[in-house]
Amino acid sequence: MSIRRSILIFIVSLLSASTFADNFLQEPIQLLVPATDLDQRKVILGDRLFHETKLSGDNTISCASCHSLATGGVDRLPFAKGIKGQVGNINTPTVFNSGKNFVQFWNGRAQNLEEQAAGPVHNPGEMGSNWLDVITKLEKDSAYLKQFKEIYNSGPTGEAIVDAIATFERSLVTLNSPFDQYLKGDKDAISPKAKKGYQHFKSLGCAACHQGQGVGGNLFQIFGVAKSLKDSKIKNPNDLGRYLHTNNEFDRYLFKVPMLRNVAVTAPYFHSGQVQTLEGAIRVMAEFQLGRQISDEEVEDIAAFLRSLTGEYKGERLK
Amino acid sequence: MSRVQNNISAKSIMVIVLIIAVLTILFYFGSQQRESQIDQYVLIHQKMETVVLLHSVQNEVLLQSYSSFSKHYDFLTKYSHQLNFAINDIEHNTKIKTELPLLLKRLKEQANDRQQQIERFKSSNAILQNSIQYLPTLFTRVLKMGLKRQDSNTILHLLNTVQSFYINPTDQEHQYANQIAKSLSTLNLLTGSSSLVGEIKLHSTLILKRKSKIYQLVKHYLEVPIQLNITAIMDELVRRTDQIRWELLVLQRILYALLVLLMLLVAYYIISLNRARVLAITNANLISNQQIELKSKEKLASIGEMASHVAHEINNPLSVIYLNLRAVKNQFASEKADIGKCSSKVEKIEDMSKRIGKIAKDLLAFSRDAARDPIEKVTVKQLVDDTLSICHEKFVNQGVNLTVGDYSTDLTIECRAIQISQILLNLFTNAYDAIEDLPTRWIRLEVEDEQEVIKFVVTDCGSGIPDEVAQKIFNPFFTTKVHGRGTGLGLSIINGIVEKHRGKFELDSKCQNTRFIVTIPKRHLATDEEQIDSKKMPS
Repeated sequence: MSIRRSILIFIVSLLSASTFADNFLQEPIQLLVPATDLDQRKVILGDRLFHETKLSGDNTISCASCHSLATGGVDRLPFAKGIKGQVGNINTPTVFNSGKNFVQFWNGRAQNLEEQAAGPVHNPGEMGSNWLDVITKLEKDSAYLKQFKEIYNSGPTGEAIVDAIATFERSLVTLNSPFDQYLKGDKDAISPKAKKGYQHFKSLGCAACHQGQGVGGNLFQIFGVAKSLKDSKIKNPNDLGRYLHTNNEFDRYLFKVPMLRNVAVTAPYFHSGQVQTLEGAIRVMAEFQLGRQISDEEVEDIAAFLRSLTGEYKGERLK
Repeated sequence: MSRVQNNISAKSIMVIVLIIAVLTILFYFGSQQRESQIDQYVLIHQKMETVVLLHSVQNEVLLQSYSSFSKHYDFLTKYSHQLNFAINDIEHNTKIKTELPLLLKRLKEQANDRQQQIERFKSSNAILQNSIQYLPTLFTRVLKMGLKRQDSNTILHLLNTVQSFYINPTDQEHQYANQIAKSLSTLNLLTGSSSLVGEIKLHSTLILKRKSKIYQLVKHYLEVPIQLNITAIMDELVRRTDQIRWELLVLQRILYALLVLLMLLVAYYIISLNRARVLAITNANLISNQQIELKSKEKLASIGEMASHVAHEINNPLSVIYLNLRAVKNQFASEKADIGKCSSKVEKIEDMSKRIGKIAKDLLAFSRDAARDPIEKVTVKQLVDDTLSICHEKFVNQGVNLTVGDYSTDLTIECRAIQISQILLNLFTNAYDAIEDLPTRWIRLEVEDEQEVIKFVVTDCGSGIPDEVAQKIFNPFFTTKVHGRGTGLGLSIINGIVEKHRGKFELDSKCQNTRFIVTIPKRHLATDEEQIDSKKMPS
């Protein structure tokens, strides 16, 4: 039983951590590890589907249109563009490492990638299609039929399509970032400036939310802990966050804390996409979340640290 | 009668066997169902053990985060996710209609409740961690500002109050809140760095609120009676499993008993079937033995009857012989013997002797069992003549007019001649017995040539046979004759012979008189028995 084994490993590692005072576990940021037990056939099929424009109503856009793997898994626009030139109202989160998120979407309305993948396909402002149309189009392709038959023992179904896409997305883990190399023990993997930045990142309180393997992506947080968003320039119709999904008063302004892995290549920032630079984003965070003023030097150091979080896809560092 | 009883008991055994078979199948499926239920319960139990483990790990990881031992929420997120997954897995895969689903539903609700506390804990704890980490910096900044001693003491006292609340959160949050509010109001009087005052105010408030919030959340989390519910589920699982095991045991025992019963009944049924078959065979043997016996009796009776005819037949030529012999003797005694006269007398004696010889031969032929005689081709005329020669005398003497219709004299037939004669003789005798008391008495034999077959039609002057009698006349031992006269086998013997010749024997009920028709094929067709016999022959 894999769960039991992992729990056992966890307990043993806790014991060893306390016994040998291993610093590793004490670090808020953890080494990024690849997803295991993925069916490679699903990954291949999901890769093709991820780039398949037939998933959209007018055959113009695919998942990759907004989550281009060549541009950090995002479109680098403030808001996503749907079919027929429609412009959405929220910034595209990166698909890289998305399997490490504890929930999906900015407001966490999807419990997993399978649920998430079905969302944009059906959103009239995004891909504007439905499973019936998509399946009809895919069934005309004998290569697809063969792949689906092999893996799922059926033709294409909504369930199978999202399963393949989600499996592919789980494989998009950007390993081997300079910071991970540093965590593994290569002290020269990151610049002294980045090292200083990491110390600031921890001491200034950023790491209170941005922690774990993904440097975030494992909790919700109020946007505007120290200062309300109301009068800020990053104001957006989606500012109410999770409240729009749950209507629970507790969820007002609540967002999923985004991961900071590859953050350097996924500008512009925040759900509103209104901040273009990393430094700008750090300042916004310090002002609205931490409730403290930080120096320009600290900002630059932290930006240097954040740039060291950019990992590799297919052996090449993301750009 | 016993056969009818046998049939009834066989039927009832069949019904009982069927009922037991159906019951056996039902019990079999019942026990199968129980077995799969047990498997299901064991599986749920295993999954529940995982839930128990994950539940305690979740507690531990939460407390580690709460006590700031763990600096990240990956484990908390991971194990919470796994716990929810395990619970959902159990809930979705449980199709048992007991109180278990209710308990599982409650477990899920409790887990969700706890999950919500964890999510809120993570958010609040992150804010708290940020502010608490900022406190030392604030201390330093206040000290660096070079405020008046009293003011800086106020601020430091405020921060100390916040810290002590953080370390030892109590339910008296209000007391601290009041204290801090009082201190903050004095801070407002300070005209120094307003941003610093703002930050102190912000973070003190955040720590106070979030710490008590977290305190409440964790308390709420720990107070969810999930442990009780888990215990209840485990107990329920064990209880249900035991109960089903017991049911299964009972079912299996009943099933074995039913199977044994079924086998016994089937065995009994087979034995009784066998016995019935043996009985039937014995009965059949008995009947055929009796039939054989009676047949020969019948034959003896007809021989006796015939003996008187024969005596008659022999007596006549004998007296002719005697008379002629005496005449010849007298001729020889006188000196003038007339040779011509003598020779005619001697010829007559010879004729008569021949006739007696023929009668003897006929009698001999009739008295032995003709069933094994070879099939031979004979003329119908010879057949008829032979038969008539035996009984003609009797009918003439009794004043019965026996006539034979015209037929082609070269008509031939393949048959056992003696048997066909026997048929005709039996028919004549029957006819004679039937019409004995009538004033005018006649019997007519007609021979009809119909392509493949020859029909012997025997009609007498009787007025037919009543329907109720006609239905029975072919039954063996049925007779209307006076006791001692007939054996009741005549017609059935005829039937037997006709069947062996592949012919047909029927009563012509359309005729006003009594008329029997015997149809015999001209060419003999071997019966199965004969075929078997002929195969046996070479060995």
